[in-house]
Amino acid sequence: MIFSRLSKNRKEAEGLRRLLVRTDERPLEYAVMGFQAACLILLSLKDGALDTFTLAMAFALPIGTFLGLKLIARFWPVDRQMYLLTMFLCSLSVILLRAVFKSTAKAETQALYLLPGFAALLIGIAVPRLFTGREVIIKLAMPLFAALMLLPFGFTTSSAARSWVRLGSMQFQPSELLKPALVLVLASGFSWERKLKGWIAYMIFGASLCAILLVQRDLGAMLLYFMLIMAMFTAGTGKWRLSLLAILIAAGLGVLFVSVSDRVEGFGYIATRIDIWKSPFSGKHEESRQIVQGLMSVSSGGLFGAGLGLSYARKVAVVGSDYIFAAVCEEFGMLFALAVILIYALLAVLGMRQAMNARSRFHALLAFGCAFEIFSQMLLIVSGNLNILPLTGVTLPFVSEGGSSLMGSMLMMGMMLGVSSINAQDEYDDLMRLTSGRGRGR
Amino acid sequence: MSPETYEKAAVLMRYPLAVAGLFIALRALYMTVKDGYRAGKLRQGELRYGAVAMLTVVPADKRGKAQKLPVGRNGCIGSSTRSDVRIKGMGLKSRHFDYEIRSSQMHISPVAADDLSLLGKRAGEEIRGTLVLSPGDKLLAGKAVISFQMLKLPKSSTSPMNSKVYSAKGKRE
Repeated sequence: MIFSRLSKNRKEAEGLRRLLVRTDERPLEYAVMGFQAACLILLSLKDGALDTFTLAMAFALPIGTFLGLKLIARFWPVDRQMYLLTMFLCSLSVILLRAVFKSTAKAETQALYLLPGFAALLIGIAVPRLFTGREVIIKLAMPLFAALMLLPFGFTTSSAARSWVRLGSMQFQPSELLKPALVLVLASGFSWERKLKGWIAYMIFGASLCAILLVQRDLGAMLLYFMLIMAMFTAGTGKWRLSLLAILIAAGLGVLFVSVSDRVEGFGYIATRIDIWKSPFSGKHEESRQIVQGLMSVSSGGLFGAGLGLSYARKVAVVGSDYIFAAVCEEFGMLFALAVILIYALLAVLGMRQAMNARSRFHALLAFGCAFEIFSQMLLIVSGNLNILPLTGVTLPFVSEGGSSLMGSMLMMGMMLGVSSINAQDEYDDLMRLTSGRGRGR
Repeated sequence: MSPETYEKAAVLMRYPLAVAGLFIALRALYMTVKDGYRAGKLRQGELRYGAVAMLTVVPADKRGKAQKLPVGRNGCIGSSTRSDVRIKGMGLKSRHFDYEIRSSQMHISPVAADDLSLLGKRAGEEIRGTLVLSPGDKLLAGKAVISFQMLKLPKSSTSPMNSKVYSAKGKRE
């Protein structure tokens, strides 16, 4: 319709339509919906008697994916491919938790988390559309974010993990929720500040978060935060030599710390983890059981998997969050697992593309930071599951069990989608301007 | 369903589910690559729809994000939505200056701008009234360094829009 307005020549209108409209996402949409329905219908029959909750999810998830896309696309011209891939990964979480565990409790909880997760996605879309990065509120929010990170010290759980906050029956992990906040603050700081003294405040903010995580003994999250800060600093300022120097100093300090970690109270587990990583099958440490079982789980799936619900992945400790990738390999097989890794890589590529097409530095850095964070987190956890790197305890974005992880990931994906919608509108404005002779802007 | 029947069904479903996962990943890859080509063709398509030049906008401190914007024969450059070419965040006024491209040169008439200056080879040149830029000349407006290059029109252009001549106010003559 708009294409015929732009050109009366039918061939030209069709040509313009092809240029403006992206590749049809419907085959991808139907494939995702079909996959969700097929898996959950099969799983509803797993326990002999029909599981009504799983059967209900078999219809609710595909319909929710479809309606969610219609709702979002009604208001914003977001990148639909990114949304569909995200929904595929989110539904994979529910499917795996239902398949791996005999009880439906974990799958039900994760399915319920999808609702606030979708709300977080919508909030994330709104963020780049509302903020330009110059808002004082972003700077003023930095102490609040640091205070949130300190919450676990006041609300420690009974377990050794000091990065969780327990409020009654609920618990959440501030470090997961603060990742998108960190991306927002750093994007604001490095896009508008031009000099070193302007960047220092943001570097101090990032360093303080890393220090808090170190005290909380959440080294996986600390590593992710550090990598994100360095990446955004380099991308935002271009000072790659400074970044390289900081990384080398941090690496040196890290090696030194690891070598003396067994003498530092509360950090003795680091030396054990390194030892287990080097020789997981030696049997020297009780903790190596998790890694050995994880590796066996990965390998026993073969190319096509054991079959949905037929794996023994539940025998792996903390399989729902730390070893979910091993569960993917055992349930669905290596081919499917490679497809999942490819999907994460595509999400990163799409995020980087939005960053390169953004018309403002703030939006470019925002998209870059979110894409980098999601991809690096995936790399860390998959490497840990495959024993390429020591296990760090971070989660697989969208797929791992847990509300905090899902909220944080959905917020970041929402911000990337928000930037994509701004880029699409700018592109449309370009062409409208060219064809009508007057700009319409936004 | 008995456990044995479920087991047979689950084992059989391994293959279609793996294929579904691969299809989703490969279809997404195909879409990503194709949309990348589309963006390149969009640039070529812009020629058929009235773009005559490519404006390059670089932040003056060289630490920002450069942009390349296709532009038509004439319009207004500024920071607001009322401008034809909107350049945000580089210190431009809402409607900074008007431009018109004639005979491969850009004629600039300041609207609200009082800070235009030339850089490079023409640095120090006094600006009075209308300024004429050739491709490659650099103009400092606000905190943006603006230059332009003419786009090469395709030899056989069937678009009627390429034959239209617009006045400075955007009306067809």
